[in-house]
Amino acid sequence: MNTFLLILSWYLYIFLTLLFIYFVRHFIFTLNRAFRSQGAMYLGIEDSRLPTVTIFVPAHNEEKVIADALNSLLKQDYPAHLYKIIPLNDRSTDRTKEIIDQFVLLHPGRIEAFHRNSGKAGKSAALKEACENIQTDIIIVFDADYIPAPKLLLNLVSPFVDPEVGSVMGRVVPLNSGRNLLTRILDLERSAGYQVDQQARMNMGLLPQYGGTVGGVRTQALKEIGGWDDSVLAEDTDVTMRMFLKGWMVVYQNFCECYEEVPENWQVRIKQVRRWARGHNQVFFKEIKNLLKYKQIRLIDKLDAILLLGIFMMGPLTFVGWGAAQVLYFAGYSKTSLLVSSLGAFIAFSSLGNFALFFEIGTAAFLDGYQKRIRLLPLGVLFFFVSMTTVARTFFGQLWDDYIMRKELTWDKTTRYRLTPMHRRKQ
Amino acid sequence: MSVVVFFLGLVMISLPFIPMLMEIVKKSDLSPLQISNQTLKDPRSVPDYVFWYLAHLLKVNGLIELKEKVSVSVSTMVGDSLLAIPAGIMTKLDVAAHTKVARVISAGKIILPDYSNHIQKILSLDSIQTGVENNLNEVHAHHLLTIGKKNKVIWWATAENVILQAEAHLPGKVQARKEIVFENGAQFHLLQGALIKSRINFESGSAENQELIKTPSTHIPHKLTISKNHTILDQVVFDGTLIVKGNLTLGKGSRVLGDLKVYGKLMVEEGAQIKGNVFSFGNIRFRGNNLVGGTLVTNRQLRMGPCTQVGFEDRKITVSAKSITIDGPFKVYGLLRAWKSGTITSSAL
Repeated sequence: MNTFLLILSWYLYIFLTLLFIYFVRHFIFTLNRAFRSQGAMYLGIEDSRLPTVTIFVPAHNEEKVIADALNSLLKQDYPAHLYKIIPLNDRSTDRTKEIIDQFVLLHPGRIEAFHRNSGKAGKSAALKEACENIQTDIIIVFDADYIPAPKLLLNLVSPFVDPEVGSVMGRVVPLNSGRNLLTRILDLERSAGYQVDQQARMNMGLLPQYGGTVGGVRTQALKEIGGWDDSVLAEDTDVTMRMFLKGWMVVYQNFCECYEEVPENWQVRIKQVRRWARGHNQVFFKEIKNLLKYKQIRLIDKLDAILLLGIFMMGPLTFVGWGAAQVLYFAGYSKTSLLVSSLGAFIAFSSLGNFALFFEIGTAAFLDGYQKRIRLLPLGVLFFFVSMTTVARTFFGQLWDDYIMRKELTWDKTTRYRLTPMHRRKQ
Repeated sequence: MSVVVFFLGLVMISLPFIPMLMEIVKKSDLSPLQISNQTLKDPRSVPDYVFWYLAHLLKVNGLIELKEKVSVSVSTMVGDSLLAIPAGIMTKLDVAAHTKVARVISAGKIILPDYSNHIQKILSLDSIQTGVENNLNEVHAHHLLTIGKKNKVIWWATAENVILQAEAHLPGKVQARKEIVFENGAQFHLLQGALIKSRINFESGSAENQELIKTPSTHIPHKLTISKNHTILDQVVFDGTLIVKGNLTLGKGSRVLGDLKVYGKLMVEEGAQIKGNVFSFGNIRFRGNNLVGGTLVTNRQLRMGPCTQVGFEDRKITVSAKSITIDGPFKVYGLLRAWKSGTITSSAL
C-alpha cells in the first residue's frame, strides 16, 4: 500500500513540475505580447517575384458556405494567371458538387474541380490525393467556411521569399462571435490562441503551428517531408512537426486575418475539441521519438516543440493528478498533500484552462481592443472544465479505440450555421 | 469571526462575476473583430476618376489669391472623399506665406510659397510645387509633385513623379506611379515607386552582370546551410541558396546566384552581387557598387553604400529594415520601408 502511495506522490510531483513548466511558458508568452513589440519581419513585403499558387478548398457537404469562399478567392488581389483554385469535394451528398461545377463553368481556367467519390475519407486524404500532380510553387488551404479578404493571399504568400520558410499560417477570426454566449467565449479563446500564443512563439523564434487553413506550404518542402499523411486526423500538426524535423520554418502572420464560423452549440464544440485532441495526440505518439532524437536545434526550441505536441496530454494527466491527490489526502499519506493538491489545482487552473486562460485571454482582448467582451473572462472556469473533461475522455477513448480495439479513424465534420445564398436572398 | 472572513472571501471571489453577469445580460459587445485588408483598395485613396470628376467641376478659369494669414476652410462632399474648395473655383492657386488652409483642390498647378503653410489635404489635377518649410499632411498631384527644401509630409503624398529637393522629412508615405527622385538628403519611412533613386545616375555592374542577375534561374538552386561564421572570398561565384547561421562576408566582386539568409551580420564588400532574396536577422552593410536582384529584408539596420541597386525595372522588390541609411547614389525598384528611421545622407548626393 505504501509503495502505491509513494508512486502516487511521485506522480503528483512530476505532474506538478510539468504543470509549472506550462504555466511559466504561457506566462512568458503573455509577457512577451504585453511588453515586447510584435515581430513582423515579413509584413513589409509587398512587391516581389510572385510564385505560382494552388488554393485548395476542402469541402464535404458545404452547400451553405462554398459559394462565398469561392467568390472571395476569385477576388484576390493577386495576378489571376498565377493562381488556381481547386475545391476538393470529398463525397458530398448535398448541392456542393453542383455549386462547384457551376463555378467551373463560369470561371474556366481559374477554378478546377476535384471530386472524390471513393478512397479514404477526411481532409488529409483528400489533400494527399489532390496534391499528387501539383506543379505550383505554393499550396494554400482555406476551409470552405472561410471568407478571405482580397489582400490575404498576397500576404500569406510573401513570407515564402525566405528560403527557409516551409509553411505559413494566418489568423482565424470568428465571424459569428455575437451569436450566443458560447461563440463569444470562443472568440476570446481564438483571440488568445492567435494574438498571444502564436505571435509570441513567432516573436521568440519558437515554433508557431500551421493550422491547416488560412495558411499554406511550399510544395518543395511538402514533397521533402513525404506529403500529407492520410493516417492522421490533425494533418496540420503533423505537417508542422515534420517540417520542423526537416529544418523548415513555420511562420505565423498575425495580420493575415480571415473570418471563420465557430461552433454555436456545445455538442458541436465538444466534437471539435475531441477531433483536435485525438489528432494532436496521434501526432504526439507518432513524432515524439523523432523529436527527442532531433539534435540540430536549440534546446529551447526542442522543449517548446515537445510542449506544443504534448498540450492535449495534460488533460488526462490532470484528471489522474486530481485522483492521486484525493487518494493521498484521504489515505493520510502526507500532511502536505492538501497543499500540493490545492497548488496543483491552482496551477492547472491558471495554465491549462483552455490552454491559454486568463492571462492570455486578458492580454489578447486588450491587444485586440475588446472593451467589454473581456468581462466574460470568468466564464473561462466553465470552459476549463468542459475542455478538460472532453480532452481527458478523448484520450482514454483513443487508447481504447486505437490501441486495443484497433478501430479505423472517422472524421467528424464541423456543423455550418450560415444560410445558403438562396435562403439569404429569400430572407 | 471565521464566518465573516468566509463571507468576505466569497464576496471578493464573486466580484469579477458581477461585470460578467452584466455583460451577459446587456450583450454590449457582439460584433466580430474588425479585420484588416477587408477592402480591395485603400478607401482613403483618391482614384483617377475622382480627379477627372473634379476637373469637370473646375472648368471655369479663375485665379484665387490668398493673402497673408488668411484661414480658409470651406468643405464640400465629393463622392467618398471630403474635399474643400477655397471660396470659389480656380485653375491656379497661389497660397501666401503663413496661410492656414484646411483643404485645397485645384485643376491647375498649385504653388505653395515658403514657410509653414499648414495644409490638411491638397489635390491638384496638374502639379504641385511647394516652397521651403511647409507642413503638408496629405498631398496628391496628378503629374509632378516637387517637394521643396525642409518640407514635412506628415501622412501621405502621391503623384506620377515625385521630386524631393532637399532635407525632406517624410514620416508618412510617399508613392509615385513612376519615379521618386532625391536631389539631396532626406528622412523617410515608406517610399513606393516604380523607381526610387537619387538624382545622380549610375550603372551598378556591367550590362553582362546585370543580365546574369536579372535572368530568372531555370533550375531550383541547391541549398547549403553553414552553421558558423563564413566568408566568401573575392570574385568567387556561389551557384545556389546559402543559409548562414552566423555572420557572413561576401568578398569583393563575389556573386551568389540564389537566395541568401544570414542569422548574424551580413557584410557585402564592394562590387558583390546577389541574384535572389536577402534575409538577415542582423545588420546588413553594402560597401558600394552592389547589385541585388530580389527582396531585401532585415530585422535590424541596413546601410547601403554608394551606387547600390536593388531590383530591376521589370522586377519590383521590397527593401525593408528597422532602420535604413543610404550613403550615396542609389536605385530601388519597388518599395523602400524603414520601420523606425530611414535616412538618405545629403553629403554623398
